[in-house]
Amino acid sequence: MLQRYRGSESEHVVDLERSLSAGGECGVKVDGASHRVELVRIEGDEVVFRLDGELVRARVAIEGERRLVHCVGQFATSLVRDDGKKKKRKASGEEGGLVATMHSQVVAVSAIVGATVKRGDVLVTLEAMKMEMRIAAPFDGVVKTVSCAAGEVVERGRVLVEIAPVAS
Amino acid sequence: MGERMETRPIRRLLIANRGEIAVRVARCAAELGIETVAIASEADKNALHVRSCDRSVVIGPAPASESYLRGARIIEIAKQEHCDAIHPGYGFLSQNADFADAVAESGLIFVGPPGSAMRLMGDKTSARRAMQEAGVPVVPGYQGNGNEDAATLKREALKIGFPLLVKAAAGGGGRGMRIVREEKELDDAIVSAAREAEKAFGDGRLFIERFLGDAHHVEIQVLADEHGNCIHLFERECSVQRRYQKLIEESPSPLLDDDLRMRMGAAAVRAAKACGYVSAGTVEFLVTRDRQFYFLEMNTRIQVEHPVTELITGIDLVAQQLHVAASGVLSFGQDEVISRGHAIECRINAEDPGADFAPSVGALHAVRWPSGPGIRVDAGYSSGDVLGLHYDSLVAKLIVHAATREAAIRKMRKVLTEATVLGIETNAAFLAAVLDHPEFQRGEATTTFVRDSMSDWKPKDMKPSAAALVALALFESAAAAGGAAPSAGESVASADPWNVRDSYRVGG
Repeated sequence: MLQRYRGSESEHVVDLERSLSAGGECGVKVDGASHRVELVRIEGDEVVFRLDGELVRARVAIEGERRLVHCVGQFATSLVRDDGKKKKRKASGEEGGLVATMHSQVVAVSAIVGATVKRGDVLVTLEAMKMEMRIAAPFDGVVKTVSCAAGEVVERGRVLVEIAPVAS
Repeated sequence: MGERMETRPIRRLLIANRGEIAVRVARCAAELGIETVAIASEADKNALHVRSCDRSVVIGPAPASESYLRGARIIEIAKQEHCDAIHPGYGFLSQNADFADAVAESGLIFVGPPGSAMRLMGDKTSARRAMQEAGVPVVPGYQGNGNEDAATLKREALKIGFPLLVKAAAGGGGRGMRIVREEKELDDAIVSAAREAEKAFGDGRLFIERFLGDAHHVEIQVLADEHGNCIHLFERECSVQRRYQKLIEESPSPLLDDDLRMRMGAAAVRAAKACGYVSAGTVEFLVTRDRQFYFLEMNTRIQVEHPVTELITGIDLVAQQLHVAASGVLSFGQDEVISRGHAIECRINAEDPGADFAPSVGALHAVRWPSGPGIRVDAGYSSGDVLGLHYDSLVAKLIVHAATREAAIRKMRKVLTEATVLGIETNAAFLAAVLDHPEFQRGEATTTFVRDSMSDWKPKDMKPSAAALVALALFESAAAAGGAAPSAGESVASADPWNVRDSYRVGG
């Protein structure tokens, strides 16, 4: 059984020889390296097993494509299930598209389509959990599009404003 | 600690707050046989604090200005629900003097200090003056009547020397504050600080203090009653801060010796008496490396980090607040307050360390808090709860108590890797890195520690461990084989009965 996961900086393949029930044991390849796994039990969201003899107690949650896991004794990790097809991650920010740096509420939009902006000009102000984040122009340019409005809630990564650089 | 007559018994309490502090106050009230009424924004209708109270009233939409900050409406609800008292918690209306007065005028008990004490301490220049008169050392500086021109401020600033701070009289949280490192920056700082203060507080008055950059933040917990009795409950060291937000608090402070502790305790009691303080409060000081201490400000409310004091003294501060509110008198004296062992608190915040600590929001899954000797968890959320945009990022406070500082650090280090919160990012790994840092372990961290010594820190294990990957694969393959086992959906974690059982744990 092959499972693929994608982290923020890495991709992983887990190849479990077979599906295990409590007490079962089999081989598992993690990113090419062979290990031995013995399932102690799965109880609700808790998975207890031995990996190469060492006891692991993990808590797992699935949220859409997100795969969230915390092994007791370590810190939690969030991954995304990967169907194996190469997906190009959306390029954001590079072409002058300014994206929301956090899931937040738009407090103010000072960008106006067609306006000339200088590097460092604040174009959008976001707020979440009492923390304010100012989205500023990364270079001198002209505002091409404004795709957010004050009061709106935006997801992290969402394009807020696009600017075209001015050739200097 | 003997019981006294309650002159104004509290039978039903409205808790004008949310999150962990509302849960904590509700638990204390329940122990004392007091019924509780929660208020909730529409976003919080099924929140943990609502589930922790006997009844609840929805007060308005999610933004705090339309819900938890609606003072007049809150008093109205308290009346309708036949409450005797209102506990404000921290944040929101807790330091709003007009609210405290309005509660008292409506015939209800405000569980906290009188509005007059809040007003005196809320204005930084009047607080400085009152402290000087009471013999409490303040940071060397200058405060006039607030109407002096820029030339006067400048003349005084040159006398104090650089670096210095230009601060707003009405200020707080770093707003209306400028660090001035040399003379040529001064004019600009005065103009911009006044403008910012005018805008933020409608009050552009300024004062000047010497800038003590590399100092410890040490605060003293006090308790006072209506008859002028006031005691202190030792200190909390809160130097580990990021952007003026405390992250780790502990007691005793590794900097203080008994002599300094007693002198600071006595100064804090003088400070509280000088403003006519009643209830639990905190006097904050800066302590330089050569152990000179200076009054910073007074927090006229229960504080986030109060459990640290509760663990070393065994005194329930919220219960004492309720006792003083009901009876008007303290039930014990200074001699009965004893400190034992060492306590540390870590604040688990919903922040993404991989994205410069930007707030992280979402639904919580698989929440588990560790338990065991000397471990206390004050949590505001459990599995299935949603952490939204509108409120602060505090998810839970982990507090440990052990015989020594070393043992407490060791215990906390383990606790940090045992608490499970999935669905959002947290600062747990960062807190662990602070505990591991030699400067922190030596007890030498000052308020500049996070900025200066932790700036290189990155979540180094961005790569998942083999164990984490195998855990996921086992879980998913069992789900696929089992049929009845969870399919990929949002309800996997929250539908699990195990979570309900372990959903939260407070007190202890």
